[in-house]
Amino acid sequence: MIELDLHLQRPEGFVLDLTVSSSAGVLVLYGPSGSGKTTVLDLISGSLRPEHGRVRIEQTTLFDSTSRIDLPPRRRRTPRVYQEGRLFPHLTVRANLLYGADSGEGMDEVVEMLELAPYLHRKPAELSGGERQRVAVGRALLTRPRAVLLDEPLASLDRPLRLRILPALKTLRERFQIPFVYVTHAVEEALALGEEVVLLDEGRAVAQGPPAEVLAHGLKAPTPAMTAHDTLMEVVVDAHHPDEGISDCRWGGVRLQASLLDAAAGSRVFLALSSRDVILTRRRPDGLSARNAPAAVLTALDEGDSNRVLARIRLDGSPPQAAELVVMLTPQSVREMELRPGVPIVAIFKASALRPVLIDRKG
Amino acid sequence: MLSPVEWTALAVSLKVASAALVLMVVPGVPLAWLLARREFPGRLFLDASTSLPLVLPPVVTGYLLLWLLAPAGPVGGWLHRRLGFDLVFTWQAAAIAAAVVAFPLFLRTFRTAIESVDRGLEEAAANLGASPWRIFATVTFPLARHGFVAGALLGFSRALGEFGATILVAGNIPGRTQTIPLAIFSLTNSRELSAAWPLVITVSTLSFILVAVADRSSRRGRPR
Repeated sequence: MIELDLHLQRPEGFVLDLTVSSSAGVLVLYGPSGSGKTTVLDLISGSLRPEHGRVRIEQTTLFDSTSRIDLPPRRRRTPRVYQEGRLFPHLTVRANLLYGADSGEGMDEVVEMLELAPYLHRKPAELSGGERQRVAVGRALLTRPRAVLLDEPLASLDRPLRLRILPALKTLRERFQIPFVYVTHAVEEALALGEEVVLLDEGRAVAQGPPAEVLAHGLKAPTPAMTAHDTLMEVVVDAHHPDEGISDCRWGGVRLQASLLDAAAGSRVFLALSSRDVILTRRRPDGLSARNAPAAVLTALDEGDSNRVLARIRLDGSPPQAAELVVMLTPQSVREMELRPGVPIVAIFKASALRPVLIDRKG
Repeated sequence: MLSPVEWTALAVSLKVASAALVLMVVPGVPLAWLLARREFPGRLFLDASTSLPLVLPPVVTGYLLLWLLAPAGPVGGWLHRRLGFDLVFTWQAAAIAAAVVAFPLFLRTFRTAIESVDRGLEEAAANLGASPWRIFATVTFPLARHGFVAGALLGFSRALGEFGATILVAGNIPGRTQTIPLAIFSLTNSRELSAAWPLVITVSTLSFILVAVADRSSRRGRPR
């Protein structure tokens, strides 16, 4: 159980005002850069002090301004995994792993699960980025922490490597039963790890809940960084047509076709669709090359600025809680097509416009 | 090549410089860390006063030390009354004079090395549960060690060559307080100028080697 009640005003004008309580194993703090994610970790670990508030982890108060409790960072047992690793360059991997450990207990397990055995006697400079981050995670876990604070730990790695490390991270956490607070602005990391996601924006929690829900909601969050984004759909894979390079999927009652997906039939996949990749028509045209042309209803028009309009549409048969699709239009199109809320419409997009964000092989 | 008196001067020089090195390092290590890493009242004053011997004429430093250490002075008087010990005109006084004059070289070199250590690593160590002392011993010092070595070598070389402050507080007593620079000074006063060559070459060679090694060490410590 992690309880945060944080109020901070920085001299530069940034204000953090956050109350979060979560018993999730992995609490993801998700938001655009500058939203205060890292500041929250600084406040939990004691690198920064809030003006007033409270930090509690599993019944232990690390900070409380009313009862004047303020444990120094080294007594908080909230080790951090930084984006850039911060391994001690003069120590071997082994010495790095054991730096904060009282004993070697758990060492063998950590080494095995993170596949670090071949590197134990090397120095950090001789490791690849992925190896370094694995050492940093192991080093944090071996301190018997109250919680591990991860600050975009995979951001400097390339995508295939990131997707390989994610499941290992999840397994490790479940094995050690230590809460993770995981900061990221990558949707796939939030989806893969998060049991609960807090959406941060300008120092405030805009939403909190299960990842798929919160991240879909995030698209409605009132910042430019978030609105022009993708719509996220959690679909079920129905069948594959390798000869055509197409996979059939289902999003609630909507049948969709995506480029061939590397996922078993029956498994769940997150697909992202960019607002720029969708075309709207009033009637379904003949002889269409795009694979997807589901019927929809226009629900709202947001005047973005003078040369673009964001149209929100709901696909007929999409899941009840699902996000609306956002489509970017020019004001001219809106006028010519006589678009207004309630108008039936057809959304057209190619199979390749549906980009797999995360494939959960466990189905 | 060197006469027995000159060999003695070399031995006295090495003894004085070694003792001076200890006198520099013991307060210098914590002080370098304080100045590099902590904010506290009087920091500016401490910073300026420890750098002062770098720019002050050594004779002035020696004069101030003589005033402090003389049997009637604030520190010397206390030693005289309590221990019956007079520092002035002993090799220990020469070591103190050399240490004070050379101190800024050690302090600045080591301090710069500490400042170049990534604070993020110290923060990471604290988050892993390390105490400030352990962070210094296991992270800061090992990563600043080249600066420590370079500073010690520079300080030692400077102490080896100290003249102005030494002659005021320790005099120029052959066999006891006469170091190489003082011996050279005596030779140039009494005999032909060329008689000092062996000592000049000895001290130049020694200093050259020390400075070269110090330079190499501080280069190796520079972040790549």
